[in-house]
Amino acid sequence: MKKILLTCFMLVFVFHAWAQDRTVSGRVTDADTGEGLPGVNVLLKGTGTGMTTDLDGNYKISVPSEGGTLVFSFIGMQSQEVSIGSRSVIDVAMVSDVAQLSEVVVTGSAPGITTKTLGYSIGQVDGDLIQNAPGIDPAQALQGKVAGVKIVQAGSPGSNAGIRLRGTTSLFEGQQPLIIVDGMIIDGGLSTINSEDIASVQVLKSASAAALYGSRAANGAIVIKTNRGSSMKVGDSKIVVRSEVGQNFLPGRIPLAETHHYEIDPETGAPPIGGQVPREDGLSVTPYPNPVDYQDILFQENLFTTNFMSMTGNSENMNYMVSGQYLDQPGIIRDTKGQQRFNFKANLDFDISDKVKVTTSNFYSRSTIDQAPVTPFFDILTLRPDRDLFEEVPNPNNPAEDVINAKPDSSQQMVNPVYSLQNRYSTRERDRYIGSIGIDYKPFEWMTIEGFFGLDKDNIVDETVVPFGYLADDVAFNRINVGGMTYDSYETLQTNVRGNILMAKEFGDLSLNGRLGYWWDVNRYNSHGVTGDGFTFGGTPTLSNISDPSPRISQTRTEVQSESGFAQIGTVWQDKISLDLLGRVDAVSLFGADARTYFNYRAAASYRLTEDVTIPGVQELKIRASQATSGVQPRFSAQYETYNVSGGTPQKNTVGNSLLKPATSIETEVGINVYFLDRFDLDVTYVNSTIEDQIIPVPLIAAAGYNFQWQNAGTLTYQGIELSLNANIVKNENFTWNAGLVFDKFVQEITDLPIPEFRRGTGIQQSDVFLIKEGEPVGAIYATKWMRSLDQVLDGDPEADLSDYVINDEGYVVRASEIGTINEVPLAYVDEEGNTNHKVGDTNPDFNLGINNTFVLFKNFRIYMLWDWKQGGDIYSQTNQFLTRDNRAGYIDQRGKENPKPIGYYQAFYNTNNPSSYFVYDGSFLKLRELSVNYNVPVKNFGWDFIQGIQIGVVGRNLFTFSDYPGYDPEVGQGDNNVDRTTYAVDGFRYPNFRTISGSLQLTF
Amino acid sequence: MKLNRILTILFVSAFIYSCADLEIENPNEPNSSDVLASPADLAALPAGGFADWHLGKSQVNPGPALACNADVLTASWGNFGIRNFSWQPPLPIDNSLTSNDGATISTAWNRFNSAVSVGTDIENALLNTEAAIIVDGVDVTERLRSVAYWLQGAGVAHLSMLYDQGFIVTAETDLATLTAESLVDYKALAEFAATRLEEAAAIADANEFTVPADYINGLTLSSADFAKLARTIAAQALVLNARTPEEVAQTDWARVRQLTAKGIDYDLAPIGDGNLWFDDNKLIGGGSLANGVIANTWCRVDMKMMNLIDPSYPSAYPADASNPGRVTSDDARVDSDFIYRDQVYYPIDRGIYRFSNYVHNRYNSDFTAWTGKPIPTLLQAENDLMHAEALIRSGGDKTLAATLINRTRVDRGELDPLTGGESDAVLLEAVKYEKMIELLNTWGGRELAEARRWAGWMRDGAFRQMPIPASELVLLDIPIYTFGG
Repeated sequence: MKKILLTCFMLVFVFHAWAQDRTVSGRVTDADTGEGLPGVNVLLKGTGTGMTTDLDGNYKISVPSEGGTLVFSFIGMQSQEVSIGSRSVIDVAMVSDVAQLSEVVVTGSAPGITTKTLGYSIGQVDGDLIQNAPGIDPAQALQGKVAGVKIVQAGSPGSNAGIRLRGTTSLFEGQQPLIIVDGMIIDGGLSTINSEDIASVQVLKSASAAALYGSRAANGAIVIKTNRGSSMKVGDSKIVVRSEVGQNFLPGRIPLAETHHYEIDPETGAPPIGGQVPREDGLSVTPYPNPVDYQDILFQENLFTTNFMSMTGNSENMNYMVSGQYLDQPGIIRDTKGQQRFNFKANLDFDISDKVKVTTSNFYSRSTIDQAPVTPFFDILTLRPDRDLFEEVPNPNNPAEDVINAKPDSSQQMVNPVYSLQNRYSTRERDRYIGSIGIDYKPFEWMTIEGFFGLDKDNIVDETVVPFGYLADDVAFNRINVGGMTYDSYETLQTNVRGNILMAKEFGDLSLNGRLGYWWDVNRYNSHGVTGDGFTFGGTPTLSNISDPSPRISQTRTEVQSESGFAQIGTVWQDKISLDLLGRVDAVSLFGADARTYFNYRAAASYRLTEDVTIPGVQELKIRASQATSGVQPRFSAQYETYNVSGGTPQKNTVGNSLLKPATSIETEVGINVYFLDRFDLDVTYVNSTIEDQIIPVPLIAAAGYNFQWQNAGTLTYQGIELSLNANIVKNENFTWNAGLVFDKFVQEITDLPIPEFRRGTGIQQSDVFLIKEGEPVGAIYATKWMRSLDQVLDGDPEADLSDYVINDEGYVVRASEIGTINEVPLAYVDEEGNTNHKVGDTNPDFNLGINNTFVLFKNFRIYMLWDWKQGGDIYSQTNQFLTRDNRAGYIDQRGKENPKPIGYYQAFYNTNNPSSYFVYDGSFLKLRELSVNYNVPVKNFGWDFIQGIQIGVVGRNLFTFSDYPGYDPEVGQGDNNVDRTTYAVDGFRYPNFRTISGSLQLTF
Repeated sequence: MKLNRILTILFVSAFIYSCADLEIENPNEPNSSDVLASPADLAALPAGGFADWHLGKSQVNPGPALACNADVLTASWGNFGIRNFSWQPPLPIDNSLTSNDGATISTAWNRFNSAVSVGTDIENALLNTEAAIIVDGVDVTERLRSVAYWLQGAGVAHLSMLYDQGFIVTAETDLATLTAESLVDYKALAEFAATRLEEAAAIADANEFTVPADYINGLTLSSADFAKLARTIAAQALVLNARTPEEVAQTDWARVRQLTAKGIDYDLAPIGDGNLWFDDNKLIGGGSLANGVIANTWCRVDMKMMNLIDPSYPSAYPADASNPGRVTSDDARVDSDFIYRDQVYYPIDRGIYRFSNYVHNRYNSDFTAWTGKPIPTLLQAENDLMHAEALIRSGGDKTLAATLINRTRVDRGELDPLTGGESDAVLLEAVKYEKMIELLNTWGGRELAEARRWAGWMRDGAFRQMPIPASELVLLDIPIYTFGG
């Protein structure tokens, strides 16, 4: 594959060459500091000739003998044009240009309106910030960098992150924002996409920002642009080779009890397998002999590698960016291979004529993921700690052969995780191509016509195999000993067709821009699967070897078509006042037949106050306001009357709804942008959002035969404040310090729920700890609440004699007659109305704060660190609940406790796996999420002309976490795409997030 | 210029051509017009109703939890409502909107009501069609009419056994007007069920047809056998709706006698498909092996049951958790239907009262046995024993009653035969014994419906019926209520 890449590079290499006559050189400095400015574009005006300054600000450029004009440009600085004349040395001092600081075109904004005059807030992350410590995928790269963005990673290599922009918009349809890569709306998450190619990410958090995407936009959008040759000067090219090798660690361990509360067998010094007799005092104080922490067996420190190569260039009529990346991320679980991913990217753009430009983007990804099953995470924590996981016993199916003992404790459900991991497996193979072609045609100076066609083809094949002769019972009963397999294939084809007409005219001080658009999107999905139990013979785990007389076959096909028309007007007066108006009509097949069209709008305005008023110390002050609507689309089946068909048998399911329409988010946003003291850039936004006409399954009385009907009913609201502050704190010759801070706080509430309140969870067994209830936020945890004050006793029993109760040393109310005895148990709170479930937690944080700092020392050392702080937000630990059930939680160990508690005390908290307040933990954390130290070898000083740059770096991710949460990581989340993993924070035996420390070497030619 | 012209034409074409096709069919699940599109579709519709009826009795909820509440089975596990439904002393069923046992309460409610609904759909379709329903050249109109009544009757029969009240829905019912006032108590439900099933049987007796194998999976029933099945279920409704021994005395035993005299003379054993046709009562309520490998089982047989087999055996587990050993009995089924396990794997901290050393191993000596194989879900013995009880309680032929009891007592249990000359009390005790032992784990809900009929079996405070699920009560604007504790 590398050969193919190199060939591609060489082919595109031939496009550029130019002539030269004489040489001009000089140094470009910052007028404020006098320091050399690296990376300044120096262009010979009217030609494609140009280059960038080196690390000291020096440049050398070939110019015609007759001279000409040099154009010096640099982001954040005023461009300068300097006539060459006969000079051979030209030094330039550049001054900062406040107005230019953030003048970036925003995807979806009206043409002619840039960030300078934008009427609403967006999040913008430049490629430079991402490239400090490029994450495995863009979601990882976004964490902690944008206010209002919440990302929960799943530790398992190759899995998609849960993403939420701002507040909760939907009770049932998930929170995943739209993902747009190089103009193409893609499906299937970000996990296939590598970070090294990213030029910028714009996070369209609001209904306003994402309004262009209409009925799909209420969850916002993440717009990723990848590197293109057009970012380089004509005639330039570069090759970047980057390698990163690192180590994965799981820094923490869950504290476990290595004691038990049973009488011991004198021969072994341990309790027997099954038939244990509890100690009379019921205290877990007897240590297991030679206890083993199986976490140290399961979690391994594996090496991961990333190799990346790209070539970027810009010639007169075309530019290109071609890259390849290979990732081998084995994760941290023994006997699993994790993810191997190969990505190829080719962005080729052509200037066909003065009026016609063609852009093409191509991305192919192939990944193989060896997924770890869930049960080992459970087994290592709950299995009694005196077992030998590597003990070999005769195979009952073939006594001549020894195998690892599958059931080291035959009396319990836990199996040997080593046996499990070595024998059964679950793999995913994924092929994905995302490609697009765009044609821009400019028939008149004031008009551009854009055509765009893109497609995203995603094929996933999952195989889960339990081999013939499998001896453990952590699989479906039908597969024990005889094996079995499940094969699922998922194919998605998404196509986008776009046509836009852009118009721009200046009328004196008034700039008037417009856009008309027509979009046609099609998404076709086809999944089919076969599952069968039992193989005819061992060694060949294929479907054709299945012995099952009736293997289960399933297929799901969906097609979604939508077409949209929109009109946009953007006006800017004197570069000071802007107005952005958008109206869009969607017609989508997901809507009920009698509600096929949906209208949404945006109105946004801004006023740059400092254009009229001088405020001391304030260089730029913009006030802005916007209001917009956008939608949450119903799921495919929601509009239809459906019967479930299983094995050819139809059964009533849902009543159709021909009036079903999208839920609508109505969002109002006001904010300011201030640039002050020449170094601080502040963005503050207040947002108020109401999401009405929620799409919810309204239950029907059982006599109707149908279970429910999807209807538009119910309202959510949220209000929030977002703040981002960027500062250039210190800037001198040998030390530069740039800092960024992002902060957000949201409050949300279900203001109307016209159906009975109901429990909701992550889809995992017994995770329904959340109550969806009017007046509560999504994320409210309702559970049995253990009394902590004597007053509470009277609520449930007004006649109670409070002298019968006391509060124990852990703060729980217990019966006075039982304290200190084997019968001591906590008592559940019952309110005046007899309710036994009460609000005991809320997963919504008080606030989130991210701080990034970049230090440049002696020009060549760059130190970058990103701290992420989440304050508040509870976690429900199903892990600790099960550990309590199996008497393995660390707090079960009573040795050395002044007031030891009997095992029954903890079993009461366990609460038969029903929600229990004892397992609600504060999920606050402060995390050093990223730390990188890069050193640019001063190659020019060494006279190495063959190379432009060498960068040596060390990168750490998830380095330190400060938290009281007793699990592996306070960032928890599980569940499918229609489960908001950022809200439903349940921690239950999942692949934990882990720490990586790596070294990188980057060569630029 | 030529290029410009071509591009202009291309762009303009793209704009004026509206591309999207928004009328997308749902290819995955049919709608009612699909499933009722043709006579053949209408004839296929009952399969879902029969599956509902079966699933209401065979899903993991609520059978094992009810059997544990009734001290027929026992377990310590928190799954499927088992632990919450079987505390000692008993607790009320948590029938709140926040309940963790919601599925245990609502699954059977939804399934049986759904079976009724399918019956009513067919009844409506027949009322709306004047022409005969012909499928493959065969007039299936009366078969469908019989099936419609059968599904309505069977669904309501099981609702009457499990829930304190419910709806009676037929083609005459306007679903839009159903309110709290439309609810009737379990006795009225049982009466409707028996009558509707008698109507179904009458149609089947009067018309010769074949119930196809896709209705009750894998079984092809003659109309005569279908009528017998209707009568047995009608008898179940009349017998098993009794909540107390006192209500047993109020049962119309003469009618039960008539029904069971013409009830099933075969075991109903649909073929398992691992999909809609399975039986979790047999897996969760019993079982011990999976493909030959010993697996830890969910439920064991309550000590009270083992004490019924061997009165010298303790009816509660020894308080010191010492193993009470094996039962002593002449009943051959102790060895054929039960398996003794030396160890109890339930956590001792969850109560010694949940312990037992016996597993019911009759059906699922191997967990994986059903796919492609018969699942006994209604035994002839149940009809025989209802018939015997009706004969005894209504002054009928006790010799015949003894013969009916002996079919399992002697043939399977190898116990001494009864002659009919015994006292009613002895004969009824023998009926009780057979029903508890022989019918164990045949269908979900049966253990509670049976145990509550016999004096002294149920613990004080253990619930004897379930309430309407809370979410449905809220829809009906009825205050949430519950039973037990």
